[in-house]
Amino acid sequence: MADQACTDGFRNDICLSVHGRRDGVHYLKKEQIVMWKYILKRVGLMLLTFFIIMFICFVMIRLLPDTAQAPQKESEKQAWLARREALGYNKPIMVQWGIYLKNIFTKWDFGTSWKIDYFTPAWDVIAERLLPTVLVNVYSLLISIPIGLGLGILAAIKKNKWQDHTISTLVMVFVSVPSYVYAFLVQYIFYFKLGWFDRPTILPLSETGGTYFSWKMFVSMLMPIMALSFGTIAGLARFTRAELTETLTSDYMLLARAKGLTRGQATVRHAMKNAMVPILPMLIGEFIGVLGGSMIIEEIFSIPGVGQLYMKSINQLDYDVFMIDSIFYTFVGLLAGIVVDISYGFIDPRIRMGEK
Amino acid sequence: MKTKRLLGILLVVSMVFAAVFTLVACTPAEDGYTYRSYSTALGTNWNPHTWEMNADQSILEQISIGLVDSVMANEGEFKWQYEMATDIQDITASATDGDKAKWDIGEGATGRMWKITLNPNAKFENGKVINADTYVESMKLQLDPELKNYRANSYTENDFEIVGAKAYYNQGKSGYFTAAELEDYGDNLSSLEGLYFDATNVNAFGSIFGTSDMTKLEKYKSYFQVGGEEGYNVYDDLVGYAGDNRVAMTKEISDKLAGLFGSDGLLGGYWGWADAEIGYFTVAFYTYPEVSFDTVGLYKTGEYEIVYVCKNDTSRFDFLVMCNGASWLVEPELYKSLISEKGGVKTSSYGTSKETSVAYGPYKIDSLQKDKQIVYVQNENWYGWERDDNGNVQKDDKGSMISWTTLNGEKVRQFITTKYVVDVMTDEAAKQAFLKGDLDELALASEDVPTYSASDRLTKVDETYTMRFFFNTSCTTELDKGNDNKNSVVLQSEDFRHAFSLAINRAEFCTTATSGYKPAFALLNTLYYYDAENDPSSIYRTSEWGKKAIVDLYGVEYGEGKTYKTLDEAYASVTGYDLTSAKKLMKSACDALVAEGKYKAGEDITIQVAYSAAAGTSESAAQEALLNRYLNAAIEGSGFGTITLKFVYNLQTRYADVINGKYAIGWGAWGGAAFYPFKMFECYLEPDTTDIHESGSFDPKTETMTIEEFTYTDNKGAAQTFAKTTKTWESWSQYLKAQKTAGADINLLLALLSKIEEAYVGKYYCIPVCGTTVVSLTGYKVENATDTYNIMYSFGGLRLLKYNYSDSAWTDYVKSVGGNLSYE
Repeated sequence: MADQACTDGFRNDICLSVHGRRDGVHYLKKEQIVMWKYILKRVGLMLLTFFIIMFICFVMIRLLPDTAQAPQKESEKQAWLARREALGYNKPIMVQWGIYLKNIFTKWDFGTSWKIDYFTPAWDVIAERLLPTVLVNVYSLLISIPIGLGLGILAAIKKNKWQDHTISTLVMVFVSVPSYVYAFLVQYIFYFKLGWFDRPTILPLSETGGTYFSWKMFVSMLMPIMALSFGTIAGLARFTRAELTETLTSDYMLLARAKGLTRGQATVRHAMKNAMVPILPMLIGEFIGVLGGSMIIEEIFSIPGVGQLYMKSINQLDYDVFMIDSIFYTFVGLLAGIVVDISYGFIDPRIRMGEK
Repeated sequence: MKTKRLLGILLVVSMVFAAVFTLVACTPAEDGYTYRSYSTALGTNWNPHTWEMNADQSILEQISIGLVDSVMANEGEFKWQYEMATDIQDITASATDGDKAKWDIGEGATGRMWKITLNPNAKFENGKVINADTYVESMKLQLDPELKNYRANSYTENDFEIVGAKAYYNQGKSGYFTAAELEDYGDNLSSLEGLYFDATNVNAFGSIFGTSDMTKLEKYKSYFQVGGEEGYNVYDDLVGYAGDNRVAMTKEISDKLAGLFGSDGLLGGYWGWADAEIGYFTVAFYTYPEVSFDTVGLYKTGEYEIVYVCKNDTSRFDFLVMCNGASWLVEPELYKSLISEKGGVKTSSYGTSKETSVAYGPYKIDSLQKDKQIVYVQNENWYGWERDDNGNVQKDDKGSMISWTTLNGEKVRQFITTKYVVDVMTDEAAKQAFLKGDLDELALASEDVPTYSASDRLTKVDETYTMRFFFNTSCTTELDKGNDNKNSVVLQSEDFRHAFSLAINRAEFCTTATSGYKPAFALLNTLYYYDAENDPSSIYRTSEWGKKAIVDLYGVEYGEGKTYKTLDEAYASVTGYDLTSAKKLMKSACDALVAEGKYKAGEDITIQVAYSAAAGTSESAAQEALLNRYLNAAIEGSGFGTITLKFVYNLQTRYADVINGKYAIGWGAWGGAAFYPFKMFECYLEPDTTDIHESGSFDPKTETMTIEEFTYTDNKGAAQTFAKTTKTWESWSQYLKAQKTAGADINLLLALLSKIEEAYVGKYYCIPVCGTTVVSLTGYKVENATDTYNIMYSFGGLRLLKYNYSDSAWTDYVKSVGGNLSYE
């Protein structure tokens, strides 16, 4: 390989550090290597954690005695037990775990629902219920983020004034009260007392043209969206206020003002940017986390989503549905964690992974 | 600049989409008669061969119609109306010799042949004709041995067992079966060849004595002495066998079993067992042979005619009850196409979605969103609609298909409802929706019952279930070791349990802590009919014997010189509440327990109550508070310390938990079988029939009960005497059923039922408290055919539902009253 000098004339070691090249050949920068090692390590740990959680879920749910659900009539009980035997529920749990994994890896078969959605593949059961959960939660976030950030910024800028006191008080109230309490209140006030909605729940597809992407459906989702948003708005406002207040009182803000920037310019160009460093990863986490949905909100507003599916799968001991729902929740939770951690490095290049 | 343009384009696109969505979603709805209901969950499997839950059945019933239907004829009277059949006749008497031989319905046999003439106009919703072949093919699928359908037992056992169905269903199945199960194995059973003494049942036999371990029965060894002092004791043999699974049957073992358990045996004779009961310990290895469907007693005799050969003697009324509602009928082609195997289980996904369902009733599924909503609409292929000369269904001005029936002698519309919607929602949301006019019915929670008690839209439907406390008194001393109980041994005192019963103010309990339940003083309420076929007013509870049981149980005297002159007056006076007597009984219970050294006077008593499989509610909390109040009022001055009952929730196995001694008290109900009161006591007294029984308190197989001599008037008006008889509780229940089957005089049956009920409740192994009732409100939009509930036709049902408002008129009405309706 021909010896190629750095185009900028740097020495090889400096060129490697600055351009990622040595002798004209591209190499990963040291920090990139560290970063990739970190990502791979996190992904590996995530997979390990994922399997451990899955195993625990599998064992725990199968240890719950489903035989209590057996019919009392002897002949029906025999038919019920025969199905149980055929499904392998009487085999040792480790054998069942092995079969379960084998079916997933060889046939992408996550099992079958026998109770919640009779004789339907567990994968289809969850897939069918994913969209309403995601939609309600995404809508909720899209509304919560600008309002939450706006209120937080306003409270920080108007620190210790009546606006700040009002916002902070409301934030305390909304952070403290669980979302299902708002859900009941929202339902009672906006549906029952004010009559702004056609139903106390979200509308069924039969009344929205068969799609979740209709205006009517969106309107009917506003109640659960509101119930989900209050807490998120309050949380974001509190966090933003705290971060922005800190940056607004930093020395560099004084410098910025001293060099002639207006308060607004200094706030937007310097304070906001820095304050966003911890806030943005939080938003990314929230975006991924929304897939998890809200179990109780779904129940109250009859949203046929994965949240209430999870509760039903536990109550009815629908093993395979419980497992795929657990897989879903666990994966989403772990993914959110890893994405947030990694995103720090991209959002603020000053933050680097290092090794001791 | 570019950004601004991009934002502008995005805004316009969004607005266009929003406008399109709005237009699509706001298409004006057709007027009609929509009935809106709700549920907390929808069924998921309404395949008639495999459904399991009530929610499944409710969907199945909506899209099906029975061979016959019980319909309101006049106020308080019902009629059988042929639907999928045009005639059903008992043809047993005219059966040929060949039929008699083939189906074993000759002399001495109990079977019956029913000829069912099918409705030739019946079709599935997809237009396919339903004929005899469809029914036969459907039954073949129902009994398919590979599919092992959950509901096959409807035709392989019990009253409506089809001859040959069990053998067909079980073909290829191998295993050890008891003698009772193997009727076809008769020859071998008698020769002992291939038979085994089932030692696995020896330990089960031990449970008669309250243990699952025979080795612990050493102290009862004397019971196992066969042939008197000169004979031999089989206890050691039995314990010896218990270690093995099965021992080849020998003459010696057989004789020992006969000596012990036979009808003249040491224990069998005492308990009143029949020789056949020895079969409980006798099994044989057997493989059901392959048989063809020709051996099953359901076959075609014409294009629209089938014969149903019932193995047992069934009355016409009972058979019509069985034919009322969804049958085994499926659309065979679709059914077969949906058979597949998942996870080692082969079954059909028929009846699990709109696409896999085929209706044959007046309604069909229009849309189904799982966990959310199901919508039924009128099925244009139902045979019952009026049609013009071209075969087109006739509709009224609201688009409702027209069908007629007769009510009170007049021609009236039936099935007017154009659309029946069931939404999934919580009870709280449902209440709001109902008061906004978005639902047409609402089941009331207990706290709402007082608010609407005066409403003319309130309906109360009694159910056959009697809620009761049941006890484990046999091992209560052990209970205190393992949980929070303290002194639960007091439950062993019959006086204590009696006082417990008398301390409960049932009227107050029902009014303040239940959703409209009614006080119960015994186990069978006014919904049990002893001769519904011939007498629609034949209610056991209000019969002379039914009333007498309660009057005697609560010690109310009547007659000349007494407070109450007549039985009716005495019966009407019973409240089940007598604090004075309760206090006396508590005192005597305490004294006795202290004297026996089981209880130390003044000590507090804490007992956990296995209350429910669900979570606690405000209703259950109110019940718990009331019961504690009642009991503590009753123990004043008795010597007992404070009593605390603690309700425990979310118990999936509470019946078994009580039987097994994990809890001392349980709360639950038996019900159903409204037309079979003589069978009801098998739930309480026959442990082999069901997993749920009262064996924690007593052993129905060994504990005896004596009915003293009594006289009754038979149906010919002659006085008859029933001699004093002693039997085990289980045998009494079996005896009553056998007498019913044998066609005994109805007055004797009533008297026996009354005596058994009185004696059983009088032992206070369980305490009846209240009969369940469903209290609901009916919206102003609709009107039931009648305000008086009848078990045969409810309030007239969807069939006779009338509308005060069409959909559009209802919307206008709700708006005119400001969007909020008052039902108080």
